Amino acid sequence: MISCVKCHLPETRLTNDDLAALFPEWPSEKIYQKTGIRERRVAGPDETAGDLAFHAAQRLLEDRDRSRIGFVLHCTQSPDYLLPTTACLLQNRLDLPQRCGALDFNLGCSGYIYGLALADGLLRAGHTDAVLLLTGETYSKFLNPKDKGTRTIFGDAGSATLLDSASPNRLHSFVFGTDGSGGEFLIVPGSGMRRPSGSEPAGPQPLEMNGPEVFNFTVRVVPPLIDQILERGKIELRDVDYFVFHQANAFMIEHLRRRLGIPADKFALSLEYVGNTVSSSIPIAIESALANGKIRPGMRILLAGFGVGLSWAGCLLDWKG
Amino acid sequence: MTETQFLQRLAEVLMADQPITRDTPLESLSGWDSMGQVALVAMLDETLHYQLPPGTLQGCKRVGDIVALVGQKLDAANEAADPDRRS
Repeated sequence: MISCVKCHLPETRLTNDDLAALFPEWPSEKIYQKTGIRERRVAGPDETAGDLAFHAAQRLLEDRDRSRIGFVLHCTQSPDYLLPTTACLLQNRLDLPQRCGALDFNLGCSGYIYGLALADGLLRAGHTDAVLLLTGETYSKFLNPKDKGTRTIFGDAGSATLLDSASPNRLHSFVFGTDGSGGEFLIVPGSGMRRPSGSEPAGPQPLEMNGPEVFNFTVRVVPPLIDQILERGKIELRDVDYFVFHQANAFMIEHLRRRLGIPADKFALSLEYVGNTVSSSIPIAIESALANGKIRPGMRILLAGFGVGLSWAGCLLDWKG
Repeated sequence: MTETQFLQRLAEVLMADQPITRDTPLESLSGWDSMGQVALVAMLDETLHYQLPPGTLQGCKRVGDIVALVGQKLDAANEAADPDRRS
């Protein structure tokens, strides 16, 4: 089903040296050691998640017949507007046919997997022969400039994935999970209609992340998630050729890798120069792994996303090429 | 892992300058920040295969609160050898 993946990063780089100049208590090398990140990209003041998804889609559609696309799915938590739907605007900007369905869906770090499942469902149901799955996120616009914890982690990015009924690259063995009781652990208060308590003004407050609780959540849910995916696929861990987890931060996902007993050479680590790009982190890792030959025809790939919601999901991808 | 060994590991993770006891306030340790708490979560998972119930970290004020959480995972033999153990 997955036929091609392309990503787009904004121009502006925020390096560890930039951050160390702002927060001298966290030297550049310490940031790298704790996060595995050397730099992240930041969208410009007039650059939106829709723009990042648009440019990724332009790369993907460059030499392709746009008239085949029957659906656009756009995963974002920083839409261009609350209304209209960013995916509708992207239908027009990308010159896609008017018979195309379009919708946004609001998820973060697990969003790419949910998007794959939605697209796979649309294709299997016969609603269309080609789905354009986009992700676009500009968390940088939610961050408190003084919050070194979140500024070191998050980067902006967009991605575009073409899912085609004619592609032999099959997605299967999906597993999903949700625990809304942990919603407060990663939240932008006031970003919707529910106003923050107390005397705070209306409108979005800076993003709040309880890093230890989010990590605690991942160590609790990710190992069982992987077991359930393998069980669904009727395979063992050793039968998986490559693992692409959401690139939360290197410390956290390396811990998960060790706990699960996954060899380092089978495990994607692609956040060094982009940071945690939320719903774009898995497609960035896939594009990079395809480019450098880590993903090759005949391989079985396990994908897993987990984070804000709290929400998680995973699946298997049989890559035929 | 005995409680003594656990306290040594905890002292390393939370960057304590001197030995810690159950009564040591967590706020007095320089490593008790978000990075230290992430390291603690990793240590509990790695060494004891223990995952904290959601929201329990905020309630931990003293080292003993963490020991109480993981108590059943520490060596049973250690309990008998430690008459001062409080639950």
